[in-house]
Amino acid sequence: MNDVLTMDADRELAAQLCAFIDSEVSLDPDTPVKPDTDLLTTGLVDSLGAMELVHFLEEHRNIDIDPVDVTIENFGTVNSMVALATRLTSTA
Amino acid sequence: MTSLPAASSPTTLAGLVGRAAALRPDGEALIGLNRSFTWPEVHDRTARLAQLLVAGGVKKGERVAVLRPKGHESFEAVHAILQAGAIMVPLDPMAPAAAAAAVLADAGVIALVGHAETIKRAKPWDGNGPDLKLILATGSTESIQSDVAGSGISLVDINELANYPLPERLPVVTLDDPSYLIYTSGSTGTPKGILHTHSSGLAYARCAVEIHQLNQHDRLAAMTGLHFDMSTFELFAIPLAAGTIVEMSEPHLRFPASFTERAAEQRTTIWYGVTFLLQQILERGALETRDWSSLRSVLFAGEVFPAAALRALMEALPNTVFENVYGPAEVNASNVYRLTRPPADGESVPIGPGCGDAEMLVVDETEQPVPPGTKGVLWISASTRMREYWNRSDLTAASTRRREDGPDWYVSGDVVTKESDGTVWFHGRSDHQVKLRGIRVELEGVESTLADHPDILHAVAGPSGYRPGTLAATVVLRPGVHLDVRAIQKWSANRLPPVAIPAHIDVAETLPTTPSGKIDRKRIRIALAAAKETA
Repeated sequence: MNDVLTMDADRELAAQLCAFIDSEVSLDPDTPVKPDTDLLTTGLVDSLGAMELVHFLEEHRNIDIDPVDVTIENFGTVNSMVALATRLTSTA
Repeated sequence: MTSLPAASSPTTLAGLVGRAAALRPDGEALIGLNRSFTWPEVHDRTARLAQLLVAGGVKKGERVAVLRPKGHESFEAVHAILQAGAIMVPLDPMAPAAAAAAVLADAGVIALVGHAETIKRAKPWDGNGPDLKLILATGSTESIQSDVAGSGISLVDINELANYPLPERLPVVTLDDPSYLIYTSGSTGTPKGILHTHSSGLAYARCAVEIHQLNQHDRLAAMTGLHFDMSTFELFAIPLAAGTIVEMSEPHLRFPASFTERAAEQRTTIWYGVTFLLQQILERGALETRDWSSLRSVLFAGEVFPAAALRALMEALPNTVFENVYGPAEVNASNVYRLTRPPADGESVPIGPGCGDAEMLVVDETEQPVPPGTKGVLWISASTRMREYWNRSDLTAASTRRREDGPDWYVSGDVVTKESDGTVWFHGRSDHQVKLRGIRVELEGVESTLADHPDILHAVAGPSGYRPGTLAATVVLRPGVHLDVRAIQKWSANRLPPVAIPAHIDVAETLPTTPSGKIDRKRIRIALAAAKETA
């Protein structure tokens, strides 16, 4: 996969994640999620929401996310989730 | 043997930090996320903060709330409020503004210590904090300056505490003075405040230090929110032992792998968490990848630990002692049971005998004591008991009993059996209170809130079989209305604590009724609990 395609795929995944969080995870209708929104300190994603995001990423990228990778650093923003998915896709 | 030095016993909760500073002048008190603080540093910081409260007009017995993400500053805020002689009211930093507003109004909160961003979300101006006159805040205080302006509330930036003076004299605090007011869900949807004294809080700290043999070498992983009564362990028991608190942020508690990474790196010796969180740590904490040689003790509380999960956790941490801790917030923790082996499948774990001076009485429906081994409702008498429900003498009277000239008993509402050796077994509730992820939820409160929704005629809620740890609800809608689950959840988010928002909602045309014509809530709740995802 060349870099341009990766970037497009990443942008698409980021958009899908934002839409998914807005519609299925977030309970705050006034704050649409952006790729760099801090999801954790704002309380947008709780412990159950985090598991939904893990499943979403696993299905959309056909990857397995090891529990040791489900961390604050990797799930703090949509951008960091996309970076994790891309890293796991390229090493799969 | 207890490790508490006999000398210099603290007289009230207000003396805990100063005593720890004297006992351990070089000892680490708080391991914050960015830096650590020694006990003398914490003593210095809490004293300056207490002085700011007093100088800001806070008087003895007035209520001061803490509203900020968990961390070293929340610990310091709690102790500063106690040292100022005020009553500490912890708020949930993640709760919707309406929930914070309900507590601010009910408690008549005069001052708020917090973080600017968290405070901004709660909007304690605009009538949400009718008695509020002072805010002490860290973070970008300029971001709330314009909100506060004109509201009659004074705002003080406390990012640089060292710039403020040490107190010359603080109010004298005695054991009978109230110390903290902690809110829990009520059966009408309105939260109720549990008022503790310095005496009951200190009795709990002493009890915890003795029974868990807490000492200066202990390093606690702080696993509970400040607004949750289990936090009294880190707030009072650890300082009494002059141990160390390893702070965990709220995100650490939601990401088990991040929690275990920090807990292992920081060589924690003791954990005290709700069953739900410990199960998450078992499932997703990558326990096998960490070094647990420092971890001596895991205490769990909040709800029954399923036997298979408890056994798996004990096997994953084979050198750690496990203890089941029980106690409604009204009496702090009153019972402790130390496991001698992992439970077999389906085997229950007792909640143990009473600790300290706690006494257990089990009564039948006529409020007469039952013989050992017979089920009944648990009454508890202990020096760790609250004084009363705040401004609710009706609730206080309903939950208090006295037999002849004996002590006052707290009516727990828990159904138990007591063996002749004093061991108590928990069997369930005598009312409709449930525990979700360790948090008390009154089902009637959730149902009456849902029934306020414009589309909903009737609602019955109960623990969900679809996704354990969440609520499910069955609702009857107004004619012609279609179910919009997300809309109801978002509407509920402004009215219910996050844990009480139904994760699953289904619609019924009619609800089954009992022979007397009432909605058969019990039957619907059994169906909700037994439900499984069919998709």
